Amino acid sequence: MFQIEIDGRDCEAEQGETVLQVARRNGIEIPTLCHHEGLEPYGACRMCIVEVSQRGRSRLESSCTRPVEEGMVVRTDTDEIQEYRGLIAELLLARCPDSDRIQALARELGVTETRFSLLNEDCILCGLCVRACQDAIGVSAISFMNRGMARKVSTPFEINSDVCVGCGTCAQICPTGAIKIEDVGDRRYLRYFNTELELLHCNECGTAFTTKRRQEQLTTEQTVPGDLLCLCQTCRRKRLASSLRKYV
Amino acid sequence: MKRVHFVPNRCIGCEECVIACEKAHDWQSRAYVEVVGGYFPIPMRCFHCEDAPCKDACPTGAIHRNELGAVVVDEEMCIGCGTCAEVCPFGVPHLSETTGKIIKCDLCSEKVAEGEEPACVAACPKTALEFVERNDPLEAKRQRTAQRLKEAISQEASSR
Repeated sequence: MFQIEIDGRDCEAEQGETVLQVARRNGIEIPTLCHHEGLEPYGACRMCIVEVSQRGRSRLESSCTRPVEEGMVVRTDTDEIQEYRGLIAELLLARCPDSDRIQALARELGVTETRFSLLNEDCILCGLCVRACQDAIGVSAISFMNRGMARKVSTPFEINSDVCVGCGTCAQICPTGAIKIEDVGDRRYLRYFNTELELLHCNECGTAFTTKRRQEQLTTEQTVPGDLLCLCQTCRRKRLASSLRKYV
Repeated sequence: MKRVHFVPNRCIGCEECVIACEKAHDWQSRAYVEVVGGYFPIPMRCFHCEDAPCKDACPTGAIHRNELGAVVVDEEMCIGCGTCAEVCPFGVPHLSETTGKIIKCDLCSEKVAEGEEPACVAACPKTALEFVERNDPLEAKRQRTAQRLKEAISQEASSR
């Protein structure tokens, strides 16, 4: 336990914490975009930049990836930081002008229009989907490919993925809504990743509720009785309710 | 550690608990009433299992047990993968269509911490839902059985 200074306030910090964690715990708001509490920090969007001063030298660093150190002095709201954040917001706005999330974030930072030419992309390369797929789901079906301007998120060789389980986390977590999941008949389509999977139907009511590969993954990783995994959520509730009925 | 205990015999299937839950949680209910065999309503919700599969399965550690013993979701940490929904034997957690995060019963922890009852329990017009200590219903059941035994014995004694 030691003290660091954030915006003139003394804050308690522990070894291994990040500047962002300490700031948020003390009620100091830092805008973020690619940060997610449940995933490892990545530092892609640079929205959370702060000025870190140590031993008389100061530099701008992303607070989500910067571990705290004793004697650190952090400023989160200087004019320079505001200017850089505004610039980042403008660049993001130029890349994804139609995203509600980006527009809201830019508005918060006082940016309403961008001086750069519009790209009309939908992905901002924040890496949330890649991290979720790799760290949380553990399948690594998607990753970054190419470099520089051509950088994008995709499956290997941009073809139908062999390992994607179709859980839909990438679509849920995407801040711009670039990834969409579509269930048609007995196929689940992730058109953004050129991937399609077979859906699994509930043994009782016949509704498609998960994918075949997702069920195989859960059967091997989790200790859930196999017959339960074949039922949709509603039918599981119904089954428990009817088994309770016997005891009334 | 208090739990919501339901007495299915008393449930009339009015779904007041579902509406109360919606009111308490941004119009997204975490309570259900399942009708079995055409006309037997059974109120259902998260059981806050001792060995909760959802808690073990959560890849980010968003599901944890709070100080009241309730299994709750930390919305900040939830990535919306739905693993908990798929492993729950009772089909309770589900993905919110508006936020993309998992929603499940939190035992109205904020209300309970202030000494109130959970919204569903407070709303039930037939006391089919009770907020009681975990072992209280078992104790009541033992008492009832003992009472029945006592009556049977005294009847037999008087008929002799």
